[in-house]
Amino acid sequence: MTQAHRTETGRSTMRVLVRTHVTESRWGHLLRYGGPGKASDAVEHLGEPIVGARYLRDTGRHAPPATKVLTASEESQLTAAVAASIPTVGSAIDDYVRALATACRRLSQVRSSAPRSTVSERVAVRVGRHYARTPDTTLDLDELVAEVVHSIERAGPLSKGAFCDRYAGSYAVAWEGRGSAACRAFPPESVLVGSNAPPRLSVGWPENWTAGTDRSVYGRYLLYFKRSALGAGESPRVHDPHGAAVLEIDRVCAPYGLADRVGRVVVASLASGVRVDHNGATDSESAGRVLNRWRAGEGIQSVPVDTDAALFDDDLVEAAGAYVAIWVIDTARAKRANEAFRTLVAQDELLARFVVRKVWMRLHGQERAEAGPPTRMNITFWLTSALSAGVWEGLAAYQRASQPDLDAEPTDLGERIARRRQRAHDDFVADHGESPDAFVDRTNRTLSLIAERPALARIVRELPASASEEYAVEMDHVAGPAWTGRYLTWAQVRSHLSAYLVGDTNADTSSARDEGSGA
Amino acid sequence: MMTEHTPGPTRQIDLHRRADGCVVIGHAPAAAAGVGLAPTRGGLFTVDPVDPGAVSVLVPAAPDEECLAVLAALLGEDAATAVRHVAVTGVSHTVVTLPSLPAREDVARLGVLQWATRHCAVGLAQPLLTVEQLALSARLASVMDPDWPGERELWAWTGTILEWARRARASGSPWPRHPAVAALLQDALGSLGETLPLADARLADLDHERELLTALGTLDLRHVDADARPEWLTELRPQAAVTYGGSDSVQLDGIGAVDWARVSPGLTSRAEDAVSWRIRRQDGAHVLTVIVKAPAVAPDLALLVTPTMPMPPMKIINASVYQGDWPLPLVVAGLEFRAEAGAWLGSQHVSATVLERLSDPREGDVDVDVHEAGAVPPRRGGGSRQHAAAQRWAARGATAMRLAGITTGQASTSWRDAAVHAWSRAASVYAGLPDDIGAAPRAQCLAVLSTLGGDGTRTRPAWRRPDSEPVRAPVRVDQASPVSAAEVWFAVSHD
Repeated sequence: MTQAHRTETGRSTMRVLVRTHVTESRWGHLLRYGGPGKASDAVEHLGEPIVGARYLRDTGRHAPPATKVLTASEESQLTAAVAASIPTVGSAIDDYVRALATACRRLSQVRSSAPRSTVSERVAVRVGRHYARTPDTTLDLDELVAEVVHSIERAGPLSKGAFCDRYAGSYAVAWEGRGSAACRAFPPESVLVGSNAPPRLSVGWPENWTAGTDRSVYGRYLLYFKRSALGAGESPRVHDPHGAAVLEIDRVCAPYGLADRVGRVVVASLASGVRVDHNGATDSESAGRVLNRWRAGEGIQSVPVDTDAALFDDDLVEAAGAYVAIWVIDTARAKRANEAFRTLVAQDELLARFVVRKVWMRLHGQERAEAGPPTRMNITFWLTSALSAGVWEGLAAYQRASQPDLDAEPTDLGERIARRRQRAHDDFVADHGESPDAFVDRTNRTLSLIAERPALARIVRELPASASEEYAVEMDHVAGPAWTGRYLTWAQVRSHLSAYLVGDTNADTSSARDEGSGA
Repeated sequence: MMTEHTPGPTRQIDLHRRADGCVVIGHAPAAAAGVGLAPTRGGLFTVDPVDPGAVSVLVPAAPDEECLAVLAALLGEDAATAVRHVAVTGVSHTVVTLPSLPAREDVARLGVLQWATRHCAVGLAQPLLTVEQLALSARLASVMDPDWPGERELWAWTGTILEWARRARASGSPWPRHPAVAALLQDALGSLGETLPLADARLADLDHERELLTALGTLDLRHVDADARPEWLTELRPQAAVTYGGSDSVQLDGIGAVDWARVSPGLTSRAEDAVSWRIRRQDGAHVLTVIVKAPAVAPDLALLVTPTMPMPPMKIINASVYQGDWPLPLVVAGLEFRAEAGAWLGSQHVSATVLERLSDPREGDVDVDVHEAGAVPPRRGGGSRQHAAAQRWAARGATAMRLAGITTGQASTSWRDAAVHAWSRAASVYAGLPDDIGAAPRAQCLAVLSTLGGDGTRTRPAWRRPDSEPVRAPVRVDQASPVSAAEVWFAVSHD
């Protein structure tokens, strides 16, 4: 890989130069994947600062950013600086590898929950800083290791068992008091951010953002310590494991699991704004005007006190609708209305659910980082991130949850497979209130009746505004007043209606031959 | 872990701002065979497996500093500066030079793995694909979307990965001793070693296994020469029966494909003739019978199964019969998986009214849609069926082309042959679609064909159909696309 980068003239960067020289130096073997040191930490935290300092000394100018494409003169000067720095970088790597091994051993002895990657990064940053600033003085490795171990020892989260033992009681009391009241006044289900059930203290599986406020208390607490929940380039903050637990339990018991009132307004406004009719009612011009207004304004309107008053910011409600309208128009064009897109648009609750929950995660992150209330810029970023990626990711997670990919496994797994089948069956019953077979029977009975009765067929074809009432009247007439137990409701029939697009004529001649028939 | 590859030839790239303030970097890929998506903190990367070096990113509106920092790490400082400029000033369009950065290649690999998970036409071992993605995601944690599955999900596989490592090194192990499989294990063990809590007792085992694997890797690698089984190949090739035996005109039986987007991967066969249905008189009543082939699963999957392996839940599958432009299904049959038959089977009584209607050709052609229960109804007509079919053929072509690249000798020739057939079919089906939908993917199909039809040297032609509508993105074919361990496993486990 390094060879490939080296030969790419006109596209080189400082990061690539440093990486190439370091991995090809006699220190390279220490940094191979799974080796005693981590290459990316050695490049970014040791090599780049050391080379940057050297470049400054040699040229009197600051080195270009690490991933900037270099001009020819920058490249030749930097190449010289890298070559000249290699012995210093090598000494730094030696110190880094030694300190990393010692720190990991100590932390392992004290049963630390920190991962090796965190230790590596902290050691590398400190060693790199020393060699960039004062390369001629000796680095006190013992002191450095002690400092790193100290900073990490304090940072680890409580284990699940310890957390539950210590906080089950206080969570129960807090929920009984404030939590359940908040849940009644601001039911999470009404804004699609979660269910109205009290969040569990902990669960036995990895949780993801699609859970929203159904994420367990311990799951939310872990986010304080999750490496990947930190921003890029952001060094891990030191959280007091008990302080974070108390803060989080307090937050779980606040409306929508957010302590900040502005955050709640954002959640409620999005839920209301995103659940609009997506069927092209808004054109992109009027949506654009709404967005200009939104961008020109400032702040989020928040209710003055904790009342039961509606928690909406009208500008945000309108802007959310406009963003979704543009998303529908652009996506339909770009993705040619593919299956995933149709699923999202047809099940608008699913779309709103993903958007609200994705943004809720960002609001929660903002509170964990004590970053102050969100700005319009923040919300714009989160909302468009949710629409450009979050909703697809959410849908994939939603579908992955139902993906039996090991179905033809050997028979010794028969029992596990049978159990999974049973679970699929139970999930269906939980969702539909009847078994899959009963549902298929009811569906077929209804479909056949509709095909047979012109009056019902007309409703399906023409979809009048009063379709639901007309359907009920007609069903009363043909199937008797107790028809609802044996036939589909109008909403269920409606969910079976497919769009048939005219213009498939050239298809019919070629596709029959090309694809065979059937599905 | 994937094999290394030279980055695609993208050097300069343009950016523009959309009406909602999002910034688009690069062009939408031709995507004849579908795409993989990789959501990062810098935006959504769309990866075309046929040309993974091409860059196509959607950056959200009002990007914050973190977003720009990640873009700088993945696409270079100049691209990040340009995004800031375009997003803030509203300049509609600008061009920047991209450096080649390893982090971007890793994101492209993740995109290809995502593609393989959803679109690969053969029955890859999903556990391998899952672990490869999780190990790569854990390594990319600082640039991936913070909610993307990563280290914690990988931890659930620790026991399985350790067990795999033991099986792989056992003497006389049937595990393929291919560098890609060893690299996947190294990668997964390495990612676990970086991310597990230092107090975890399994770290010592991980180090032990990693050292042994390294030693093993330097010894006795078995030469890769897979004789792929004919049935894998036939599923990737257009068959006469499917091509000419189309039975749209026959009302009461038919064969067809499962629309891949309607059923999760790994549930049903990906062959074009996976579904067969008929309505026959039985015991005085008419019965609809639907048979859907199960995916042919590698027997070697047994080598991967461990007691602690996380297993995803299952789903209910139904078949719905549609006719003409009638918006509702006429009959729905629940399908049940029968392991002994290697198929999903379902039957349903058909009422007299429905039967009469289905038998009447004036009511239109009959379609059978196989789908997960509760899925939204299919979009029918308007060429949607051809579009899906074209993409299936291109995905088969891409799959076979990738397998040809992994194998050698006769096996490689057979895969390559299958690839040529599938890509030709994809090109001809795309040709039947309107130009705004079909032109770019068709050009990509033809570019692939011209690459495959050459003397076998790995050239990377910039091919453009001279008489076609202008295609927005130049069509490229990158035969050195990264390959997953799951594909290697599949290729070598059939000799």
